[in-house]
Amino acid sequence: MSIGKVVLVLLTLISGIFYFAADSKGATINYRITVTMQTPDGDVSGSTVRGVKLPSSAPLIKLPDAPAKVRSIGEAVVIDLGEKGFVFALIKDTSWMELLDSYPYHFEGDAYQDKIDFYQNIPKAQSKNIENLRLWPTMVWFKDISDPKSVKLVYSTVRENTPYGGAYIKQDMSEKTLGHGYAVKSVVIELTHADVTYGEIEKKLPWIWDYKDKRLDGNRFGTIKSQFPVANSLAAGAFTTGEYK
Amino acid sequence: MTSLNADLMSAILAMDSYNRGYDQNIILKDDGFSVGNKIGNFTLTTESDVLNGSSGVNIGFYAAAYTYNNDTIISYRGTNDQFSVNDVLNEWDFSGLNDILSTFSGICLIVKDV
Repeated sequence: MSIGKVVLVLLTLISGIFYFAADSKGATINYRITVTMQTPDGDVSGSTVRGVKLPSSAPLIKLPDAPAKVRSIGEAVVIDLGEKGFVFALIKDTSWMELLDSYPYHFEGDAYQDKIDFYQNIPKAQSKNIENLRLWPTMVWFKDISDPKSVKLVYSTVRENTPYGGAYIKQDMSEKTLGHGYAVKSVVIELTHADVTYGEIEKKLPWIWDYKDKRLDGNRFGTIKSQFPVANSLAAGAFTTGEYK
Repeated sequence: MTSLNADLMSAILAMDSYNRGYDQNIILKDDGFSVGNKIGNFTLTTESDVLNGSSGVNIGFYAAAYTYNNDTIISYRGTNDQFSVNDVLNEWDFSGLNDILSTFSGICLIVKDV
């Protein structure tokens, strides 16, 4: 086979790959998440705009351990409790479930772009209470906001095994951590055209970028040896997906 | 443990790392933090980066160390879909080729920390 034919075959292959790789544009769907807490002085809310990045078409070279990656972007919700300090409703790699489980897509077999269109066309400013407690974000509070090790749990969900399988159990530790009269009341989302919020975390936690590659207790990795297990479970990425500027 | 059981347990732990940390195939633990969890007699004692923006997550690497008596087994996953034809064709991004080196350096770090 001449070099010309080889080049022609290669070009045909590459253009075919390019065509199929470009069958979907991907999208980022933004939503406002609002967390409301009950306090002795009345309800207090905090909100932020997060995004769900839906990937373009699945990668053509798909390795066995490479699920199509839906990404969550944005920051923790900050709830300002005045003299008591701030409660942070954290962001994690599965925070996108807040949106996708609240607006489930049921049309199996449709083209991937149809799914993206579905989420892009959900009416904006239509709020939805997240009923599934499993989807509520983990919430934390700093006893001393200048000391990352002093972080305490306010709210988390844990999986409890039962004879019939597992169940997610709500653990509201507001009263234990913050005092009598505190509780997490609701988590609400609404689709929005507003930009994803960045920068609020840096204002509240100016030390946050010191913990990009280490846990809040100072350890490089998660370890059972830590004296501060809650701090050891957290790093900058639990508070923001932004970049240090 | 007999030799067969040891092999079987190693295989189970190798699979387990795919369901821990971030981007799990099966979400076993909702908060993504697995340290202290038990699988059989083994306890997960150390795990690498699991949070957004950290070096390990950025390269798609995850490792966990499991300990029972004096045995420690390190299980890891290190490849990801960053090396896609899409990236190469559209953005001339060959960074996925660094995955092999990144995985190796990730393993060295976790071994040092166990």
